[in-house]
Amino acid sequence: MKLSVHTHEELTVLKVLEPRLDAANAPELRLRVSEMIGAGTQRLILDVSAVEFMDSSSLGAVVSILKMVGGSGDLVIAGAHGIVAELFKLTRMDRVFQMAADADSALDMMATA
Amino acid sequence: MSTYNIRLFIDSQLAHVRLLGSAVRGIGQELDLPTEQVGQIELMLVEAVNNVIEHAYDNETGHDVHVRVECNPDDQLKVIISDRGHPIPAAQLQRGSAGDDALLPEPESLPEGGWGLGLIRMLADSLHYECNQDGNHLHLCKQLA
Repeated sequence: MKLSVHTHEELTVLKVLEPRLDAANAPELRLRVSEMIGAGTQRLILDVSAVEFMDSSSLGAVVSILKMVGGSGDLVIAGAHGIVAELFKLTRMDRVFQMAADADSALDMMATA
Repeated sequence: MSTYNIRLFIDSQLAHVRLLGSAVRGIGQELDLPTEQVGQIELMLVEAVNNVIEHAYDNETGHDVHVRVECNPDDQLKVIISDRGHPIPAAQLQRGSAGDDALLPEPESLPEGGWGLGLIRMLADSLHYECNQDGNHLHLCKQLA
């Protein structure tokens, strides 16, 4: 799975560079993020602006990441658009996640949090 | 405009579902359907095929999942997903109706799954399920006009 990782002080921006997040690659995303959290990452921006399609199994993996970050951490989903944004809306998970239009807005959101 | 009729099938492996998703996306783009609808059709199909692999075939490989796409771009697009595994329990199908969210788990419970059928119901304009000697057939219809 292609991912890019950038750190801004204590914030980590993880950009998914895959056009699809689905049942085939969601377990790997979950594993890679759990390793990052295990290594100390607590404040995470998951940038899905390059993702054109996401199914509910990958949404399950993102919920699992939210649980891993837990009460002491922070997770913002950035750049969801098209059917990816619609998946969050249809499942009403846009109420549960902090959503930002893009990674810069997510950084602003976290800086003021 | 003429009606298109396309038949595809994959082996029952989650890693292969994206081939169907990409194929249907390509069909939608070729027929000039709106981007928003193409995404909805792809999601509806992928959720249905994932369900077949996970529930009808219990994640066992070596079974065929058949998909038929019938499309009249001026009218409607039908997707029929067929399998020979365990049928969807009638009680699950009877809950809720097309377009509503009665089958979706509560977001506040932080579910990690269980959205599939609820999403299909929300994305399809109509849904019909039948089991006969040829297997189980989920008919999903999306109005395009």
